[in-house]
Amino acid sequence: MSSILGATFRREWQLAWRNLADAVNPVAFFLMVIALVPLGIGTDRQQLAAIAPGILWVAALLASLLSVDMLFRRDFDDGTLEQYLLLPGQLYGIIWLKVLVHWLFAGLPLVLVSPLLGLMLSLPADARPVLLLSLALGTVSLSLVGAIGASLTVSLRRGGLLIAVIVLPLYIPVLIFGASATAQAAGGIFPAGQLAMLGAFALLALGLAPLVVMAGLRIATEG
Amino acid sequence: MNHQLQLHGLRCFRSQQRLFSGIDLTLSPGELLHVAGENGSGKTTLLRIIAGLHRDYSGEVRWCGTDVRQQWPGFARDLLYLGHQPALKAQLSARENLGWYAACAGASVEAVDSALAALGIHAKADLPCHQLSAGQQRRIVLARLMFSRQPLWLLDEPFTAIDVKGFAPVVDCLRQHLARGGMVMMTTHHGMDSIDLPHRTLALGSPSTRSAA
Repeated sequence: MSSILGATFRREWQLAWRNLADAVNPVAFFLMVIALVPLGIGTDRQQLAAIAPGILWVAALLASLLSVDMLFRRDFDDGTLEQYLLLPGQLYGIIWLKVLVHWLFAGLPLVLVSPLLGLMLSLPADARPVLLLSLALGTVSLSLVGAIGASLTVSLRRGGLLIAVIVLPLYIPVLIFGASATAQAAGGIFPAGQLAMLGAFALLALGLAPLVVMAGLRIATEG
Repeated sequence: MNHQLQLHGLRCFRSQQRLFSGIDLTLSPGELLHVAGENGSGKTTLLRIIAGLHRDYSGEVRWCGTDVRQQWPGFARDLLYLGHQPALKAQLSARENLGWYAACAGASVEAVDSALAALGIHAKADLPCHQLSAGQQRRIVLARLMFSRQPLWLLDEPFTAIDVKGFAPVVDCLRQHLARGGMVMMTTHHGMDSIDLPHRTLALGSPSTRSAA
């Protein structure tokens, strides 16, 4: 690892700690939505268990979307983004690290609280590890795809809704395979195929999404 | 290696208005170029074009004789661009901010300390930047010059919010840079008289009037 990327990782890590409120928002949203579901639907365990995989995944997806808007916003506003673009050959690595740190602070907490929320919705115990694993793989893709939307909308003052319009269609495959994996696990069958697909999505996004983000950020700074 | 920056027939339009056209100039080692012009005459855009941050232009920017578009990202290695915005992180201290830039420039931790001392912000080096005044933040930005060894510096209004005391170390630093064979292209609304360095001036006309340097 080059010293520039090492220093960038340390800096992003420090910034994430000092902006901890940003990281609390998505997980608080996730908790609130799931806490409200039984109040709206009723406490029939079977009914809750039937909708739990879908509700958990939709809520996690929206929570992830909530945080991704800030990914490049501060860098754009304070001029750091231009300095990133001017570092010779480091942009891919910097974007990768920024998304990684973002995922550690905004995505990973969603994954870690998900078994607890599964319990709240009476998700069968066997399905909870699968929920955890599918969200772990899925949120990586969500963060990276979200970064594409963030890069395209960073130069707009109010990009909030536009980012959702750009990113949500791209989130759909992750949602389908993630919710289906959890539902199948709740039915007692190990969803090897769905998890493999989620893993493939994550790998594809890890490799390719930073390239798209690079192009998006270049366009954003041209304005 | 002998560096040289050449602009050939540089022309830029923005929202259907001509900002500037027909800019031809050569900047050689040890030269300071002051880009002058009223607000909106395209000074910042010119610097951003050279830095590769604005690509909607015609004409050529050549570095060591070759179009910079063909030597990206190598050209970025030879370039330092300080823009309008400070590019400092408000939650990080001066030392932490500069530490990152030093790591990017391949400079040591000691270099950061001496740069902080030279600009007189040593005592405030560990406070988060949002607690510092605009002038102090600008000093932190300019402290980057102390450990930057890129041959070409593009400085957009470097002296904004800087007081008289902050001037001298920066001018010294520019002088040393020029003596090393570096090049500087800068815009400033402080009169160039207060910067006691030999320089040339490129005057940009007001937008959409037919004029060029």
